[in-house]
Amino acid sequence: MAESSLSADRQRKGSLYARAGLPDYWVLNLVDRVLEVYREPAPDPAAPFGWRYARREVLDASAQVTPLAAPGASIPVSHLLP
Amino acid sequence: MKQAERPGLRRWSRREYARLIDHGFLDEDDPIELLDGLLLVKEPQHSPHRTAVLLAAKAVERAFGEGWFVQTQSPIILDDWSEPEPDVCVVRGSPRDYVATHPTRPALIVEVAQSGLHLARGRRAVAYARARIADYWIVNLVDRVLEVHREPARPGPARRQWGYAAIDTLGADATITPLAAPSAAIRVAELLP
Repeated sequence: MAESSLSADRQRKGSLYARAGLPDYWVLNLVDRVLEVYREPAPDPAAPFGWRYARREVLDASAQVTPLAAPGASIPVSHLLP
Repeated sequence: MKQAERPGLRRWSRREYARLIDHGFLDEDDPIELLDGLLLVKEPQHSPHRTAVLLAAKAVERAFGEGWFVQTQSPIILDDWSEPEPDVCVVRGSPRDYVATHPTRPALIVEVAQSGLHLARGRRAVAYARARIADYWIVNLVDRVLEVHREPARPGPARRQWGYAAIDTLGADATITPLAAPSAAIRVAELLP
């Protein structure tokens, strides 16, 4: 969840989560009212903690998202936005 | 128990506190809350504490049902000097009812306390009672009991401080019914990690 902490969340936390092997990382971007979905952690020496997510998808309010670990579920992004 | 105020203690108003966040002196994610003008550092999230918070959230969500929502470690507004972030609180309506401003009058507040027990019974209870929070529970992890605080009052002309007139301590085999969900019953054992 991010408002003022958006860029820190994206870069530092993303790199940290990728390094820890967290497979599915979502940033609910309240500034642009979109959900950013990060997947496929991969090494990247340029990243703050040496890892980053190879895939990044930006979903707007009309999209749906399916958690990697709950493949039968589907969440409308609009349900996540205030 | 009377607490002498240390001289020179500077209290922050909610408006000033908001400016500290807006200007980046405090981050949204900092473990700080405003209670009666004081910037308090929140109790560290040891695993039993975190577990107890989740158990309490789940139990009260089931007990209250439709028409209420449960927020965990998120801000509420009590008055011009207090914007605490209770471990668990139950609020009427749905989350989108509070897009413009934080909830102000939860029907129930639950704090999980281990090292923060003194604070939970002291300053926190005073602030919640003064805001007329009718039902305030402390999951006491030290003694593994639930302390139920009710009937906010300012007893007697001699006492300036608010407090709770009715305090009950319930063991693991007891059950508790929230004031605002009179048909529900929660076993205290469900709340203990």
